[in-house]
Amino acid sequence: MLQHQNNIAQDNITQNNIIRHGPLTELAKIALDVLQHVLILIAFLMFFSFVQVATAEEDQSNSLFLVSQNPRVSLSALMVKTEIDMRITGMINRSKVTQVFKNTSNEWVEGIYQFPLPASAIVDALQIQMGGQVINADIKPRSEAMRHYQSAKNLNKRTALLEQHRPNIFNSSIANIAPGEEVRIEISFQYMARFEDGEFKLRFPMRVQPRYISGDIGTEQEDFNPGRLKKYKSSQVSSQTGGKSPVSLHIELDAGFPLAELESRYHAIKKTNHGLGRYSIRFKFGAVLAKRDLELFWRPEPGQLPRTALFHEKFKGEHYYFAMLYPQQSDQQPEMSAQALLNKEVVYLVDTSGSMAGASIRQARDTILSALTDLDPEDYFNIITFNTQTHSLFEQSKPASVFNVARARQFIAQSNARGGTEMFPALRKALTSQDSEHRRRQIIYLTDGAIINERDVFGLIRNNIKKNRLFTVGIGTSPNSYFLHKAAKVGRGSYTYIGDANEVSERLGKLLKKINRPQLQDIGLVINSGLVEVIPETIADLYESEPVIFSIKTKAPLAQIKLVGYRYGEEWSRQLSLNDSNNGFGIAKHWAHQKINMLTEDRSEQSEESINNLEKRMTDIALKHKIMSPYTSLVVVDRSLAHVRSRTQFQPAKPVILADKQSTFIKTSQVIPLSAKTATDAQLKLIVGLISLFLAIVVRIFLRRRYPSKEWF
Amino acid sequence: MRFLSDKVLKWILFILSVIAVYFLASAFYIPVKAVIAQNLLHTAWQSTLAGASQVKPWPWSDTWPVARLRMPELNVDQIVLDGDHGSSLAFAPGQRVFHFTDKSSGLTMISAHRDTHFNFLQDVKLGQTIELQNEFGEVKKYQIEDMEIIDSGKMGINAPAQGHWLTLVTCYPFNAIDSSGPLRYVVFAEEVDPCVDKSCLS
Repeated sequence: MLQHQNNIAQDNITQNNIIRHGPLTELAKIALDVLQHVLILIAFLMFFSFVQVATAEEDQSNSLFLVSQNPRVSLSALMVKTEIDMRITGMINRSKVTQVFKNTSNEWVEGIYQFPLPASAIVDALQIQMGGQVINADIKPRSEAMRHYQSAKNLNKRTALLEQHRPNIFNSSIANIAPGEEVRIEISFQYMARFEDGEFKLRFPMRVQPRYISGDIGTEQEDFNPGRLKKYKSSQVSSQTGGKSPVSLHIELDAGFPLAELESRYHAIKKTNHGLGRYSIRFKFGAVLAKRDLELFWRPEPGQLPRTALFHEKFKGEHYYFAMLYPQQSDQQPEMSAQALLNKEVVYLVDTSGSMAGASIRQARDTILSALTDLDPEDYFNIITFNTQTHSLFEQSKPASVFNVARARQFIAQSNARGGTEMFPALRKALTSQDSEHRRRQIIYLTDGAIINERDVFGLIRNNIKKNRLFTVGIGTSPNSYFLHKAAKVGRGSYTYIGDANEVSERLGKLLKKINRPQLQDIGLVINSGLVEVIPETIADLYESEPVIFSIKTKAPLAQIKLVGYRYGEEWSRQLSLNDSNNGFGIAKHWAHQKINMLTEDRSEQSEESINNLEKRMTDIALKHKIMSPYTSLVVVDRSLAHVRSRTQFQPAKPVILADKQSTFIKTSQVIPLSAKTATDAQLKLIVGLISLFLAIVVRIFLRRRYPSKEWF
Repeated sequence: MRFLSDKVLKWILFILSVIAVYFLASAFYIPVKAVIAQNLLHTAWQSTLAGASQVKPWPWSDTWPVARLRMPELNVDQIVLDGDHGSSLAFAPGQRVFHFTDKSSGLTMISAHRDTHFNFLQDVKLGQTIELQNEFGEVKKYQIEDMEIIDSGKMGINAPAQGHWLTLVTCYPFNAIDSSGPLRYVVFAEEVDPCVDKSCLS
């Protein structure tokens, strides 16, 4: 097609040269010039739209799809802008993301849009503004929400649906957008900032990457809503990939203590200090084009950070607590005992799949090389790489002797990024290779996380972690934070994100230093109350860089709890008084979200019957707390909304009536008249009858009065 | 009334009485006919289900039962006649089926009088289930998704883009005296996929 158009353009140029000058020919020349430009432009646009449609199937992330019922119409939608609005109080971040897009076609269309949110985001509200109306959505069980959406859509009404596609990927659908109409979608959610290395961090994803679907294991994807977009032919779908529309930012931060530092790692920001740790933050140059995730961090002034943070919320007669135990500063730590230092084994597990190619694999190599220089000769180590196949340096971990490290360097130099991500056998090898009773094995897992059969991996880790610990490191521009965070949680370790190649040695060094010195291990809770639920069930170890976090739900308010564990190898315990905990907004929602996550993790290990029970429990929790989940969606069910399309499309069409049983064949776009006469005159007759009866009685009474003696009827 | 002679008054009384009796009788005849017809139709429906087709409920009938409409929640159980012209609506709700050229969707429209058979429409609620049995005995379930008041003089209803729909149509408002008003009360119900329904599991 491109070739053909270019030929026509070429022809015009040749003609152009033949024509001699003169007022008319001058005009013709201009006309031909214009025509030529137009043709080139058309050829270019056709090529461009072909490319877009071709990529639409693979890269559905962060793209807007407009779906028309008319397959001949090619559509283009325009993502106008995205606004991010955040209110951060302490660690809890209430956020609102507003997406504005425009239907640039001449058709009534359905807009389907997929976008990422933080993996821990708890979505609880959706508002749509279109056609001058503001519509709020309700939380409903997923299938019910879908049915409401479909039927409203089929009735040509305005409607919208927001579904959780994956834990960190959301799908929104808006039906019956008028030609040229602008739609505003406002999504409200909350999530927690992370505390790490003495600083608070807040990440917000701006784009996600396509995922590799593994072939052999993981028969079931953890995809809540498989292939909703796939049912549309590519000719019906047009897309605009993310990263082209501007994103603006407004954050109000109330840290709760004076800050020594407040910065954004990848974007230039403008901050206004209102005192006492309160700030307003915006992008320095207004709106930016989203190419990198937003990462904001802030650090308290030395000595300002409390040892614990406790929040409490009462919701529907139940008490919810959120507790956080901050690590101690390194200068307050006692020396590790020689015994604790000896028990060390590190296994590096490196993703060398195709999605790691380029900067990611270079970063991974740098990471391993800098890690090897940190090893002591007494430490045990091993390196395992995986793509479609698994390769390991040694069959069992070996001491980090000069000879063994040299072999490791050689091994790393040979690793190239290609093929798929078959991480399962590699992880199994790292987890199940022979244990030594005297060592705690630390597995450091480097990946960009672009895999899909996550659930099987969690089961594998859970069943094999024992006293070992798994630390995940996400590298590249957009690792799958959800997967890596959760894998680390199941593996009782932690997750580190490294976005910039220049930060690799610094941040990996930090991680290794951190895992060298656990402050508290095998932490447990003692609570003197019968009806208590604690999340997580197993509490992670406390390191120098990360706090320990847990949530509690009780029927009766709690006075205090006791923490027990091992501090640098010695038994340790501590009382926490809950009477003076702060009232926090969103603590109950946080608990509900954690609980649903926990139940979701359990799912893979359940029988079919108990999965049904589990799903019902999760649905009930989500509905009670009015939050989105894999089993609940937000849908607009406002019944007052007009049949927007029938009003504008109505023509008094007369259907063809066929002889056969009054069946009528009509076109889908046709309007069916309501011709039947559906009221009787029974009421009218009744009234006329009653009035006549009344008059008759009046006349009879009159006649009786006049002739009282006479008999009447 | 002194200027009126006794004779005239007597005639007035007689005429008024005749009018009263006629109108009251015909007013009561309409609902009575609707109820009695339903009983006759149930018999005709049984023989339709037994395999006969186009069973006329009474010899001079120009229509025949085609469906049985049930809403257990509201104690509704009615036999539906073919066609929605006035002569059939006096006895029962009337049905018209619309098939669409692309066959992926369909619409069954049942109309009835607001003051007899479809008086119950003012009590239906969203989410309630309507059961419709066809001539072959198959029962299809529809869930009420929407209700709307439509001016039939200016608008129709749009053919559904997808799905199989049942619309119940009657006049509006329900207690109006005028029987020729243009407003229609339309209940939209979509066929429930038998295996989406929870009863399918148990």
